[in-house]
Amino acid sequence: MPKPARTTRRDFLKTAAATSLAGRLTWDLRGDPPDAPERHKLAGAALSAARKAGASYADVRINRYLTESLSAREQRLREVVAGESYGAGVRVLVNGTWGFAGTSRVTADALKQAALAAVAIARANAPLQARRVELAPVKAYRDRWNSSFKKNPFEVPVEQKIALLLKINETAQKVKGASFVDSSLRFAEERKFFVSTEGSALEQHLVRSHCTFAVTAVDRARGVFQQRRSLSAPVQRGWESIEEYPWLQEAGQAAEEAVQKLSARPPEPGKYDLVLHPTHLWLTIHESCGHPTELDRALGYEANYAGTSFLTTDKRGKFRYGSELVNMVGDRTQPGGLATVAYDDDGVPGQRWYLVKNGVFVDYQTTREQAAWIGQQQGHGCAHADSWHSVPFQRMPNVSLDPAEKEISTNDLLADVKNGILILGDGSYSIDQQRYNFQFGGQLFWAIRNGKKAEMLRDVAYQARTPNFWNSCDGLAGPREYWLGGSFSDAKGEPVQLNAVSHGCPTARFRQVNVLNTAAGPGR
Amino acid sequence: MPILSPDEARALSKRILSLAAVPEAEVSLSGGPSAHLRFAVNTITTSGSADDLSVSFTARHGKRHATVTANQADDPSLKRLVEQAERLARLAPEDPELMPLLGPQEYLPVPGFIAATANLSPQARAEAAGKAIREASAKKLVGAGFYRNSGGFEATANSRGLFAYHAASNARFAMTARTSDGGGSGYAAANSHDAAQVDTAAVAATAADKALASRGARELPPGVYAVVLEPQAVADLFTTLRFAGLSAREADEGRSVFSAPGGKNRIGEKLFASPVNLYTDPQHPAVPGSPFTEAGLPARKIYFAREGVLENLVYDRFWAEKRGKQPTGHPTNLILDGGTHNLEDLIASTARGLLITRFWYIRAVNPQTMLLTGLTRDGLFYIEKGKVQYPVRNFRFNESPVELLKQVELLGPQRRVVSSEQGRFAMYLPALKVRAFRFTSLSEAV
Repeated sequence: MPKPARTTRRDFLKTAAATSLAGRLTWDLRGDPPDAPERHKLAGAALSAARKAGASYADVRINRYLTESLSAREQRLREVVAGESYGAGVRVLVNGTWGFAGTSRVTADALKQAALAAVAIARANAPLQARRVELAPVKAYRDRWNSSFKKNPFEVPVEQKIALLLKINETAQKVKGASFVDSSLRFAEERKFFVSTEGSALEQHLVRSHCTFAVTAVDRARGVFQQRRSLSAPVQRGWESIEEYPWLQEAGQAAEEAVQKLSARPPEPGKYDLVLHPTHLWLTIHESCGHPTELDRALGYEANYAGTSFLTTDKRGKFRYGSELVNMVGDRTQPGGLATVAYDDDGVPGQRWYLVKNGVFVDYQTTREQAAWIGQQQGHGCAHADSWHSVPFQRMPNVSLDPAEKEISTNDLLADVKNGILILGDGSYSIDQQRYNFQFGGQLFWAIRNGKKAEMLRDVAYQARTPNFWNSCDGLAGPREYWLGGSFSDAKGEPVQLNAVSHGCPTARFRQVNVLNTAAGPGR
Repeated sequence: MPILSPDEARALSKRILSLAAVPEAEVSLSGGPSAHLRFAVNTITTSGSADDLSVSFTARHGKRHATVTANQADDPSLKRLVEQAERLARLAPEDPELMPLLGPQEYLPVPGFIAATANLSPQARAEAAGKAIREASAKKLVGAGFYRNSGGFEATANSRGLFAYHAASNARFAMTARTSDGGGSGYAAANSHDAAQVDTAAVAATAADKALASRGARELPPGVYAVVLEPQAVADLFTTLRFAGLSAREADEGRSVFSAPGGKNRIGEKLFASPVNLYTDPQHPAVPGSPFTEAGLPARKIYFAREGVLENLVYDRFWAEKRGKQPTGHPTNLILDGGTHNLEDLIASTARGLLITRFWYIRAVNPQTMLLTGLTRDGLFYIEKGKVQYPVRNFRFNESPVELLKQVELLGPQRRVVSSEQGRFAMYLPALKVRAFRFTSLSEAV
């Protein structure tokens, strides 16, 4: 990660300030949302309709989602798109079977109809229910919560955003050999209202921000090209997160590195020690620890799509997932984490717990419904629906690797590597349906020789088996190098739902991992 | 929101356009009901229904433009939508690539909407899933599956009088059957615009047969094998080709597998084996597409490859004009012609190789060669002397669909398929016998 540089930030702010402030986007396209008493009235109509129709439990979510996205290619702004989706979802339990219906018409009548439709679905499905749904007890909460942000990006003038993208592109384009630059900004805002027949009434307001760019260098004579994407990450924060990042510094550096990649050499395939920077490692954590510790996967509930998990329930508390250094924490409380909430979509408070402790697999991600499946008294608050029209189910909290207690640096980790590769940035990623065999690429690769970072490499990927990989971890950097990566759009479930999730980690070292040369191509 | 009829969609578009203060604007509408049912571990899990409406308005101020999308259609909401887009459009810089709005167009008729499929009852979904669960239980297997039915319309209109409308329905069922010891797994799926064509019992029976046949898989070394791909596996691989691979502009800019040195592309080159005919055809009866693509551009039959020669790539209107080509728009379906052989013929022609039924988690590794990585899943079998001999452990591959089409030896019968990971884009693809396919490591996942 490049360090923040104040001068570059001022530079783009100056450009933006030269334009007017008329581009302010107010968050509601539709006008004011119903006030609190009105929302309670609407939701109450659905809850009582559900109860009357025979539901033992019901909840209603009345949610508004705003998105804004801008993208630019070189000095052309390709698009500015603002979007809003507003509606309500009613979920019911009838005789231990779930039913759900969503409607974009947020009126008392439409909500009642949705409640009845949800009950009808539950009744139709009841004959197929082999095991009644039992919800772990949860207290009734009445609360309001805002995610952590200083400047709501939806209140920042659009000119300022356009100026930033064009300036990033201009900076990268100045580098000789940089052929193309694409940049984009995406913002999301959620205003969520949840009530249940158990007495909870929760309002949550979440804001997420993401800026990224990619520079492509093309050598037309040779007919080859290379790309270098930004190492930045999306966060559950506001416009201040964009202001703090040294975009222009990274744009120039990325352009130079894209060009440099054209003349870098691919690796000799074989076993190498890997030093993985947090801008890269977050995605490996996501795939090889985040998904396999989902309880629904472990028990076969996602077998038809995402798959199952090698971390079966008999392994809990015993299986050596990684070396003693490896501590993975599930966390819905981490400031800035994309999956951070005060309450999940079951109304369960956000919490923090260990999934892997001192290398041993100790726990799963769970919801209220899942707690009973493994004899837990309470779920870990991992229910999430990506829209008012989606059914909540188990989704990933922020899953992060604890740093070393001591202040160890990346250079300290390099010092003990004779022949290795340092990887920055996320690239290609793929893992099997039980989360054993994975392959990851990256953005930047540097040879490590005799403890020192040496020349640049290109077209590197590593392939490993999850427990072998984490057991080969013999070095972690300290708290100062801890960094939060993440994704706006982790896919799971049928129909597919997206979840925003973060993964924090320090730089980490892994011994003797299998490395491929991906430039070797498919020729034979 | 029910599905809007053509008249209703036209009236709503006109109402929105009449609110516009800008001289030029576009409206896109879409919506309709969808419902689904999931089951796993032979029991129902979650299910639901929802309806929605999407209203998208693009305002144009000369060469400036911006788009706002919302899902409410009352007058105050529409007014705010239009004002918001107009305000943003005034602030956007000029777009040198903005093409003039199209005037009224002629569209091919594309029938693909069946009301009964759009409005299937919860009981009908439960009955369909029940058949599959019973099939799994009867064979002592553990079933997980997904049934979804939907109906919807899409409409595009603009201030120059263009109006395009299309309604479509869809039903899809997919199921994975696993042995209770976790040692065998099989997958099957079916999709159609007509729910009556989606036979959940037959899908479940196929998944169950594969699960039972895949038990006791043996380990083979990674390496290059001849392969027979079932249509599902071909669909899983082709999704990347469709999404990322066919852009003419990227090819001309030197950043695609279809780039040629010196700023040229490879159109006209024989890149694939002779029997490869790859095209989009909105009116194909087995996989009806849409009569229009972006901004109301009429969809038409377009060959991307004919007799192995790269014939065309995807041209948007701007790039087509710049290069003196006809715009293609993005394909709304994809068809690869099949051959006269059946799957058994393909297997019988294989001295030593693998039968692949499904791929999983396919991601691009190297865009220069369109190298992809991914894994086999839910049924991989060893073929020797023209016969399936035994199941084998899964592999990770590193291979390119472009290379695959070069290595095609025989084509089998076609089937309507969608990617098992990436969703709803309908393709009509054959089974393929491919001379050489590269596997790089073993996966112990079942």
